[in-house]
Amino acid sequence: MVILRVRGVTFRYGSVEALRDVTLEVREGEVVSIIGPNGAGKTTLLKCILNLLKPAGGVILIEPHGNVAKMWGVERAKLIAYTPQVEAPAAPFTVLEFVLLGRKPYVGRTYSREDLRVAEEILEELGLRDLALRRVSELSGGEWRKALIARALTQKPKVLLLDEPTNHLDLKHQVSVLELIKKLSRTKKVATLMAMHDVNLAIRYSDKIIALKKGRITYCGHPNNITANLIKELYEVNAEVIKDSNGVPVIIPKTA
Amino acid sequence: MSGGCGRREGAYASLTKRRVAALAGLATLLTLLTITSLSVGTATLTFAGAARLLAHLILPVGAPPIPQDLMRIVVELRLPRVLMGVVTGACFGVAGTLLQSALRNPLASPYTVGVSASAAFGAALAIILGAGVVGWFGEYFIYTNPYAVVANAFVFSMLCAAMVSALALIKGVTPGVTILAGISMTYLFSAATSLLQYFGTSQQIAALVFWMFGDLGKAGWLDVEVTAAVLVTCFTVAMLMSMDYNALMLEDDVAHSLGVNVKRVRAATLAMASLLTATPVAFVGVIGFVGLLAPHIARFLVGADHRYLIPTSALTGATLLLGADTLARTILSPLILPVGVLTAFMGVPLFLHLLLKRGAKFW
Repeated sequence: MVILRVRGVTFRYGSVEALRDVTLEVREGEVVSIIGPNGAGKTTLLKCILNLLKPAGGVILIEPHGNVAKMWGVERAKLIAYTPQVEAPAAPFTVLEFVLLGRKPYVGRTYSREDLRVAEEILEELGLRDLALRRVSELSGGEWRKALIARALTQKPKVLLLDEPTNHLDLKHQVSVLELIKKLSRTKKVATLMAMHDVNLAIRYSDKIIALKKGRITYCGHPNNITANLIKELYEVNAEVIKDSNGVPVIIPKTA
Repeated sequence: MSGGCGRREGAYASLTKRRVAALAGLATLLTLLTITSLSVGTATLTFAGAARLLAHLILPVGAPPIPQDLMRIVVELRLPRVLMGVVTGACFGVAGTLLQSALRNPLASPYTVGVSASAAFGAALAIILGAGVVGWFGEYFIYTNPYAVVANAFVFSMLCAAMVSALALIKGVTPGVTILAGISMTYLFSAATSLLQYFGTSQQIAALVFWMFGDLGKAGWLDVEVTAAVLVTCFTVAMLMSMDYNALMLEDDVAHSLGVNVKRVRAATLAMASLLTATPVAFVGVIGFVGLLAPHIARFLVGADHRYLIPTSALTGATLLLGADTLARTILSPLILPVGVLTAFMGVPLFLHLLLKRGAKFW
């Protein structure tokens, strides 16, 4: 079932066109990665979906709730959650309190038993339970990234937008964070759309790859069909594509 | 189960318990300090006497516990000063927290939006250009119409704050831009005040300097009541918005994704913090540092959840200012020092200690 529908979205920063006629769909439980060089429009696209930026043309729909641009902030916050590329641990929140911030669209003046239950359940699922009373500023990079994802999931969203979720993580945490994202997208029936720099990780953990260059989609399809030509076209880098033992493509960049 | 967190449900409860305990402790401390402050001075009153008097004023049953003339001195002179210390300190504490949170900057204080310099300019206009006529009375300057100065100080500081707050609504204006705008307003109004001083008589300049010092002794009952009304109103609104402030501690984009209208909340908060600062400043002059220090101490005590942070900042600010004023009245007695001097002398070592203990993390 398609949850997120982006139809013909165009966006301009002043006179500079950042997105041109972008159309894509993300289904329930699916993980879709947007790849492409710096400045291709990946973050811009995520911000348009969040209604942080207002597209000049096109429409963004959350099925069956309708047009994102016409929603109240709180209504949208119950459907779409977001973690930015870089977010510094702000203020002396404990991990539990930080994750509870995701309940903002649901709470009044205080947290209910239900809010606490949701937050604790997600901390448990992400293996952060024992850190609940730790200050967020004391977390390691991997733990912090998980806390960000936990906060987003505490929103109980239908759509999860992740900007570079493996940014600044070591190999172990890149893998564990992406595995969590994939698992949780399935179990929570969330449509996940993420911007990725690491093409190999994107291939390995995504159901679908969308390649963006200069604001246009140049490829949209299964990760296994990525070719050296696409990489060359996208990043202007010569690459060799080999298959691993499972038939998953691995991209090896070559010197120009 | 492990990790020193106890049961998960217990974790949140223990957090809450600690915070309520901190609040209760501060409230007790403030009460004791209020009684102490009432009892010190040239007319002698014991701690117990002051406590009984306070109880009698709150619940007037039976005969007054102290002689009538002593009672008059305390109620008409000492009590307004003490209460002004409490409400002014609370105003500064809440304003400081609101500003630091709204601008997401631990260096912000109530004066970041230019409130002090513009208030001084307003006062200078009144004192030097004649809206208030300066007289000579005993040791102190008084004005035949002190409310001309108060009104001027208030109007100009709110004017300045309104401009800085409105900036926050403009597209692309970050908290950093707002802070720089506030700082530039401070320079502008300081320069304008200097210009006025240049044309003032030495008596007028002395009156202005005295006004700028910040002194709780200027406060009368009306001043206390007006400031308290502003405090109660803004405090209530701030408490209702505390969940928004919690979300505002995150990046703007994230707060937006949580459904918060970031610009509107920020502008409203700046305006509210300005009101909380401008009101007491207009009555008692500029008193520094409490608004910067109180939020840091409060955050140290109860963390970042504004449902606890706002009341804790209020109590901390009140305790700091009243403590400083009590010292100001006693250490060189019968000479009374300007409280602003004491807040800095006491506050700076405490602030540095906190910062060093925290390491590089301001928050």
